[in-house]
Amino acid sequence: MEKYKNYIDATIFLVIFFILLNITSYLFVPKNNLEEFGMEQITANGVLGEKENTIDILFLGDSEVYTSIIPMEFFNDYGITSYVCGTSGQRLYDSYRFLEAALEYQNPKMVVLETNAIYRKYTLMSAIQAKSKLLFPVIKYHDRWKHLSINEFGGDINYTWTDDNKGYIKKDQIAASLNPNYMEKEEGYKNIMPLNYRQVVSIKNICDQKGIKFMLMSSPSSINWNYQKHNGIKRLADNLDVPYIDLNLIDSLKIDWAVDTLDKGDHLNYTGALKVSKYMGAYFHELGLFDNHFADPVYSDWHKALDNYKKRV
Amino acid sequence: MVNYCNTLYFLIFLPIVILIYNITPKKHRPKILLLASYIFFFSISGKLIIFLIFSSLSIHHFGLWLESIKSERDEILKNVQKEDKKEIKITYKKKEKRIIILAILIHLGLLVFFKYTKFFGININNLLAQLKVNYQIPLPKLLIPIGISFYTLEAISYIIDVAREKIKPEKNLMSLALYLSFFPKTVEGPISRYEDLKESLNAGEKTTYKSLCFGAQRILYGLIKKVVVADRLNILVKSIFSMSEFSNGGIVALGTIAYTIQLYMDFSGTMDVVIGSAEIFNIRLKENFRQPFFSKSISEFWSRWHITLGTWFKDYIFYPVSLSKPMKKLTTILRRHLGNHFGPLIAGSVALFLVWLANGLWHGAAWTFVFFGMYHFFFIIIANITEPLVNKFYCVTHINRENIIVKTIRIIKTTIIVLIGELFFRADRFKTALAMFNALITKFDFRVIMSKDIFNFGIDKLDFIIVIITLVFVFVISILKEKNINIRKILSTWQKPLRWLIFYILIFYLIIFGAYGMNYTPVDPMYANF
Repeated sequence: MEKYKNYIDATIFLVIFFILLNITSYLFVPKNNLEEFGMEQITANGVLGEKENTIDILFLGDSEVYTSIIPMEFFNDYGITSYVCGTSGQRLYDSYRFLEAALEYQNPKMVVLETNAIYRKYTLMSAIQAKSKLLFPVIKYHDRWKHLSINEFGGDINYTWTDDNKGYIKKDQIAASLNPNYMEKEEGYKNIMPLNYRQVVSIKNICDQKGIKFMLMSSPSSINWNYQKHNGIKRLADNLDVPYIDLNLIDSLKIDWAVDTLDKGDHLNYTGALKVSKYMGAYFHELGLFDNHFADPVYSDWHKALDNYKKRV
Repeated sequence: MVNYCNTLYFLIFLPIVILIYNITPKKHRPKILLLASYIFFFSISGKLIIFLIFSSLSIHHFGLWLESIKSERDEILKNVQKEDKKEIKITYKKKEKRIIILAILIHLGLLVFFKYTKFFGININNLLAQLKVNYQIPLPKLLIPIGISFYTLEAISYIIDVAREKIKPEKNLMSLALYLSFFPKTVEGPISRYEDLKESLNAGEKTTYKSLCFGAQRILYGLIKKVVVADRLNILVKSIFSMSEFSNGGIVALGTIAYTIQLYMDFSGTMDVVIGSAEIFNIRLKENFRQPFFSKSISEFWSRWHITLGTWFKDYIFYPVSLSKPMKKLTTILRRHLGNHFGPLIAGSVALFLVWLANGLWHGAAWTFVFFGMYHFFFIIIANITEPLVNKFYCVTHINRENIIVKTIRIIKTTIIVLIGELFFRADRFKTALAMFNALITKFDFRVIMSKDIFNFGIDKLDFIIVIITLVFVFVISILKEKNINIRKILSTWQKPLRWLIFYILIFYLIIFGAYGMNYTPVDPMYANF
């Protein structure tokens, strides 16, 4: 027994440590999705404040998605509800985390992953950090010690806030693209990092488990996109047997790179996003998967949000 | 993985190496350490690992070459007349000298090439422009192998120690390769000597419960210093040192103090992580710090700060120069004319000048670093010159040097000199450093440090409180260490619940108050760039 004493001691020490880590994680996790409660990336996290099981489509991705997709247009035209969980420079582990968090309250029929994040550099280091933050939120929210009030200790989680634009971030600036002919046909394809590939598979798996349709979408971007990337994502979509829409190749969108971009082709501005949203709205409608909630009283809040959206545009 | 204080290192890399090391048979454990060290180096510097391997091969070869020359000499000496021995010895001494010079030139040449090409290029281009010569040397963009400043000094010390017959040349190449590359010390030292590490590196001693606990405690202490204080102060230091105008000396003083604390916490904290990591493998690395801010003079400060660099300069520059024949001659002449104090002092100053020039340049290829070296040289020389006068003063006034008030005044004086030196050390350009120093002297307003203005530099009141609490903690530990009290030993005698409680408090102090995550930009390991 004496021989194993040190091993037993070390094990007990670690067990107590992980229990304490879980307790502090619970204390530090924001109890509401408002900024004053310490919530980060509040626009994307606004999905947590939506009424339970009211979202039809969930969008994941980086700034390409939150500047291209206007959920209010889908609702206005077809009564389809959606939310954009997009954040700047989003990595796929973040996309996965957003999906997991949203699925605690929502049961969407479809999840759309914008593909720019699939080519973002994903290191082992960032994967470890992401995983540890996911397991022990105190690592992510540790800095909240400055703002924690005594009431927050032990309080229940109650997300109350949502974004009227449902995750879309409106940009009106115009800066013409310098390379409007960026999608010239090429044969080769750009490789996807194994960690990113695995993360897409994880997102698809969680969708499969919950019976959610999963698809890939590439937003128009003359700076970030090209034919080799298209070919890479096409291969991925074929391998995983999921639908893929590359909006960079849809001529009927009629993106005018002289006026529809806010930063020389990197992102779309409002006029560009409107074109994408009209197209995608029609696409989703044609799928016949989604009910029209426009006249449903459960969605009365969406009408208020729609009024606000209309005032802003 | 350049940072010893990141999660990839201490949560993944180090535990995996510890595990594999301990399940491997004893005689193969050094191979595991070498493999881990090369993986570590490759993960930072990639193909540049070739230069590290070259250095290992090179010192192995030079060491054996020196030995063969010595054996040849000894063989010849056995069979010659007494009167011929002296000449043979001189001939072989010359041969050895040539080998040593060649070895040093190769290693120093690589260091100079990687580290100083740009510096020399810029200065030559400036000179050409001044002379209105219409030509500029193209400046190459060089990637520098990580830790080259550290392992080059280790390589040179090995060659010289072999030549001095202080150590026997190592026949086992793997052993030398591990000496140069041992992963905990690759990036920031401490600069080690082969004679100190040889045994423990090759022993393959199993990790014990005690070595694991002691090592982990040291790592935790280092992480608190680095992540809670150094990284937290980063934004404040950056903001102040990148100001375009310095209208208030109080702010400059704040920036200078913050930078000095940051540098100490970063470097000594990293050393704690490094020494703690090695301790887990039962390998004792030399201490690099010994409470430097308790120093009563600049010379004492440098015997407590970056100790292994100081001793390297002392052993391989100061003594060889000051004990060289021309210097001995000069000392004798000067002693005759200037007396027993000033005679040797002036001769010794030449060696000291070279030491401080090398010290400045070792830290970086910039004039601010050269100034930094000369600045400390100046204060050490002044202290040496005035020593008889100061001694006389204490004697006449009957003031006890060891009196607490006198000691405190001397410590404050030394700290102020160090702080001003760090201002020049940190400033991006010499011109900026001068502007800051000017503001410090002519526009000093103490009130600004006590006002809310200090919260305009990226860290708030609560951040300051955490910094102060942590500094008090480090200060208490430092006092205990200064009194030669082994804190870890005492802790190990305490009751388990109390001991564990302390560890949990420290671990969660690090997790909660560490300056990591979205709101902070951690400082890159500061000495990794030197």
